Amino acid sequence: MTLDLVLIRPEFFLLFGFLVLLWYGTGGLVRPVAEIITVADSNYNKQYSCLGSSLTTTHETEVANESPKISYANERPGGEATSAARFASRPAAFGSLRRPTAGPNHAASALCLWAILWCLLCTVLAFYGPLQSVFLGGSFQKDYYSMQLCGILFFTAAFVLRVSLGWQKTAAIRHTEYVYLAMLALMGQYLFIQTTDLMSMYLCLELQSFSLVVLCGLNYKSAYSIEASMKYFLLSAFRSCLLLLGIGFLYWQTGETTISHIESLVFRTSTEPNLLLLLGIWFVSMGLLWKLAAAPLHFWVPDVYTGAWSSVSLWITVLPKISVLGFWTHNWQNLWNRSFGNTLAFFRILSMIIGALAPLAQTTLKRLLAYSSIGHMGLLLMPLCGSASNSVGALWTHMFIYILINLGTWGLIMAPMTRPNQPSLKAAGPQFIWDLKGLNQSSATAAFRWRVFMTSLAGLPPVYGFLGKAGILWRSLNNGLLITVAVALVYTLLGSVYYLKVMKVCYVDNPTSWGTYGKFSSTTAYIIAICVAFMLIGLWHGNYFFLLTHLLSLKV
Amino acid sequence: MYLNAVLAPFLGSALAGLMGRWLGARGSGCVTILGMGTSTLLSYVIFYEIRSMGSAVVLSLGSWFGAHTVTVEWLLCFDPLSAAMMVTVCTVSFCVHIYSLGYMQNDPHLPRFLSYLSLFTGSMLLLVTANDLLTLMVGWEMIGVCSYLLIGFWFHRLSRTKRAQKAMLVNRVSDTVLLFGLFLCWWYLGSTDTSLLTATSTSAYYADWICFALLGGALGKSAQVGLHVWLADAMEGPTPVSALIHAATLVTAGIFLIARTNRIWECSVYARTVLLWVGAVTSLMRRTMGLVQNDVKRVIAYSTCSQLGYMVVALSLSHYGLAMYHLMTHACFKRLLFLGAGVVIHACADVQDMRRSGGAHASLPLAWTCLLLGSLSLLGWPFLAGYYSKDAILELSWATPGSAAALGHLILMTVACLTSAYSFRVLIAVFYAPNNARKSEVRTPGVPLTMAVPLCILALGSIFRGYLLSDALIGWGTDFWANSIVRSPATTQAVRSHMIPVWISALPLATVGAGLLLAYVFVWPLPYCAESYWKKPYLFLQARWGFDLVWNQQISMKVLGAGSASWASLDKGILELLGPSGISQKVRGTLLPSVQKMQTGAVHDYALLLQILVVVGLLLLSYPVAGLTENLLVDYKTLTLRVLLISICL
Repeated sequence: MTLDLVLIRPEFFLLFGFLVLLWYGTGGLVRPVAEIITVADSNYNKQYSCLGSSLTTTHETEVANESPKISYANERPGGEATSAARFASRPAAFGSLRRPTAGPNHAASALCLWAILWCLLCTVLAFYGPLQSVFLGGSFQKDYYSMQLCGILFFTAAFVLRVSLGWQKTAAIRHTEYVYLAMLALMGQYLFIQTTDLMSMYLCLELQSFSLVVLCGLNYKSAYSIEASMKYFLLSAFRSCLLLLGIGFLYWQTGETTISHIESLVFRTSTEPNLLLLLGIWFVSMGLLWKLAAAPLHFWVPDVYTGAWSSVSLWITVLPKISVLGFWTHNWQNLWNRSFGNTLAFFRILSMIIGALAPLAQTTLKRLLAYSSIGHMGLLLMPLCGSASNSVGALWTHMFIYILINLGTWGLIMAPMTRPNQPSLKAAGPQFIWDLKGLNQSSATAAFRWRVFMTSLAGLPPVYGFLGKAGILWRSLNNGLLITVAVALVYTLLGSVYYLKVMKVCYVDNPTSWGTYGKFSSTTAYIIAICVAFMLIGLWHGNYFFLLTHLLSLKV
Repeated sequence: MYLNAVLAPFLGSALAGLMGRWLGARGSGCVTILGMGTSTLLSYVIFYEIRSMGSAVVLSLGSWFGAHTVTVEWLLCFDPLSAAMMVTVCTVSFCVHIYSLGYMQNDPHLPRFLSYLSLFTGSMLLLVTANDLLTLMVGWEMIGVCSYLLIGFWFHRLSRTKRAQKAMLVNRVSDTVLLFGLFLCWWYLGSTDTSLLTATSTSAYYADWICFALLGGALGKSAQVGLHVWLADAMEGPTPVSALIHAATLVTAGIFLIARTNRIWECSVYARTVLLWVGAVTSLMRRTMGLVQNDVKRVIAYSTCSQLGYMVVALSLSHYGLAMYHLMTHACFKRLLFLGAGVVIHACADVQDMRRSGGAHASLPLAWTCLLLGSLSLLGWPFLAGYYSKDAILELSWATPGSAAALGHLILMTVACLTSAYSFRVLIAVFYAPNNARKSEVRTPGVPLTMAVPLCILALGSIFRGYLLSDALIGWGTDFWANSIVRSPATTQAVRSHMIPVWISALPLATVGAGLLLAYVFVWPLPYCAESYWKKPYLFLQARWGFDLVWNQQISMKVLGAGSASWASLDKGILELLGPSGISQKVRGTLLPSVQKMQTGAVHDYALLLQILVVVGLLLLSYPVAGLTENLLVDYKTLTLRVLLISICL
């Protein structure tokens, strides 16, 4: 009993942390006195109405009449939805960076900082936890592989939260639930990596799905956000049905929900394969692939990415993939290989085709990145075919590099952008590709960063992104996946077209809108700069990374 | 020392070319001449070591590339053949470097010019020392490029860039053939290394093919019949260039190539017969064309061509040493001729037309002496350089049994007569005839020292070189060439050429007199050419046998036409459709919309896909997939259940 307690102390730590966050975020401690002092500036509204001269008069009068003090007063005791909504809508209407809609004094930001601290502590706990065993009736298992991945998961989560902290200010995320929903999703992902049982797997999957659904819909003023949330919710519901059906089939046939048991059963009955068993495996795999956004199951991705806040998109791009790939390589790989084997080729090739073609027509950066993540998923699925043991290293190498690239790229997307000719537009980051026109003239550093990250995404040589892609291709060649490699090369070719297009827009095109980057949040800027540095030197100093992933792959 | 001899010109070239801006004309002159001087000095030492000490040297500079059975290494091979060439090339190039300092002193781009010259010399040294046909090819191409750069040195004149391009393009044809020859060598003999090549060559059918391909290469570089059209036009370049490249070194690269691969040629009687005809016909053709030219440099160029014909004949008669010997003496006196003519041209405001000159022997005595000396040497006046080599070739062709050789002798004798005719014609027109120059072109007397010194060196060479080298290079039973030239026992007519009647060996001398007579009546062809039956051959010769016309209209135009047709149909047609524009059109026009259409944005469409995938899973179960065992299909129960499930799903 004591051992069990010791073992699951990260979980307790997390749960306790959520409780503290909930308490802190919703009640007692948070008195928005500080906000009243910072925001209540009588001159401020006048300035504001001058800026927003293009707006309708009704809005102006509303602003003039309404004092922020009052709205806060309304919000505090009753938590009245309408007033809060009105407040949230204002930055959307005025698009200025002047108003400190959120900041370090605000509850959401403070919570976010706390959450980052929690994540870092969990990282340490996961990396240096000495005891590895099975707990909670054997549904979860802590071993080297899963704990390392969990550590990386938490570490990544900390950085993702930190990158989005600046965005919280820009996008005026003042919802305290934002942070603990994210942490709840993280909890689901964390447990998902460790799970060895189908039921617990399902629960963890749902835990993170629900959290993410709410996160997507948090910006309920935006129809896109609602759409994203609804699509994510409905489709994940369908997917859950299938997953449950699959689990049901498996349980019906074997009476087992423990994956290793099912695996050995499948292995023993391979001469007389059972149809329902196979079907069960297929359905569960569909559920997992849906979560990974592999090609025919990718349709939710662009819509959700577009609709949700950029920080949420970043969250969805990076973290669930770590956990699902971790689960797949750790527990699911053998079962899948025994029963369906090379059928995964269908998914990865289709992913790469979609990833190669669809982005060519995109105009928004977020959609572009969404499709690019689908293409990268095709690449990431390549090492899962054939003899996987030597390829898992390549998989994680690419995945980790991909995380770095995404942190940087989304950081650039979340950086505030000012548009002098469209003051009414929300002062968010670059939205369309042509927002970046003439970036080289307005901000050469930002243009250089875009260039580095786009080259990395394309997987072209002088930067780090090449290493992951080359490693995967090399492994696949060794495994004799010639057709897949050929498709991957064509994908790279077509992919470079749209990545290079972004660069061309940054460097060559003449600006039309004169949208320029505003002030970067300094920590975000630091994180981006670190990512860039990694991209630039990684190709020459990749040994440590290789060793890490190789060690990881040995422990599968 | 050996490496230094090859590298010094490259160094000089790099310094003058890359830093000429800071070194200035004088500085870059010093640098390049220092490089060339080093090279010349060392080449004499090398010659001494290899000739007198009999120690051939092979220098390995590491490997270049290797693929399958081709391994190419940077081997520099210094054997007697290379040493003889090196001495020739270096001496001449050294003289030309000094000369061009004087000749080009008013040109603002002198550093560039010197850089090109040095680069050319370095490449030539690379060519003559290459041990592998592929590395030889590197030098071969580099001298081609340098020749292009130097002909078009005054690139602001359209005609010059055109001529440079012509030289380049004609050489492309022959280089392609040579490359093909390399392929053949590799295919049949297994290597392109010349030492292996000669060791493995046998009298087989493919020896003929290899020889023909090599001949194709030599045809272009050495301006033999067919691909000779570029040489006369190359005279548009500055005179030092004409002297260095188009008289003495570049054009002898083909001769050297054949001499280098002599053992393959020894294996092919057929190829040598063709070679004989090529040489003889070239010689005759160029000589007749030279008769009617009015441009001093052009006349000398044609004479170069015909002397190359002599060398080729010597090669075809299996006396490679003799060809090399003639090459060396010819380099000396032909350079003397060119540089002397250059002095004349330089002195009278760059007028090259013989009809607008004359009476120069009073104002330019040095040029007159040089040209006279060079001409006499060319004609084979006794005991001058040309006498030894040229007469040896004539005697050899007399002594060789067979009708072809006899006919060759007849042709060469005619050529000798014509040579003397127009050599005297040049002398008479430029120096003896009354002055025809316009007032603005009145020549300035006096020769700068930088131009006089090389002239003197070369003049001495023209006098003594033949005598000094004669016994060593082509003497009776000499072992000068050691291993570098090996003749088959069947082709040793060289001995017999020493035992021919005296009147035969006196015949060339007689041609000098005949030529002088001919020249006197033919300095200006005006009175005859009024008659139509003189006029026609005159115009025929003036049009250079119509070679340019035929090449342009019958071949170049057709090739260009075919090229544009294939460009339109293949490059811009099929390949474009299958390639860039076709694919991008396909992607943008068809694939993209279809992919976009898939993304409907409706949730039920997305959910439908899940159902489709369920069906796909069922279908997969009914087909054998790797990982499934094969008796899956045999199991009727499972099969029935499967079909049932599928039908329900659908």
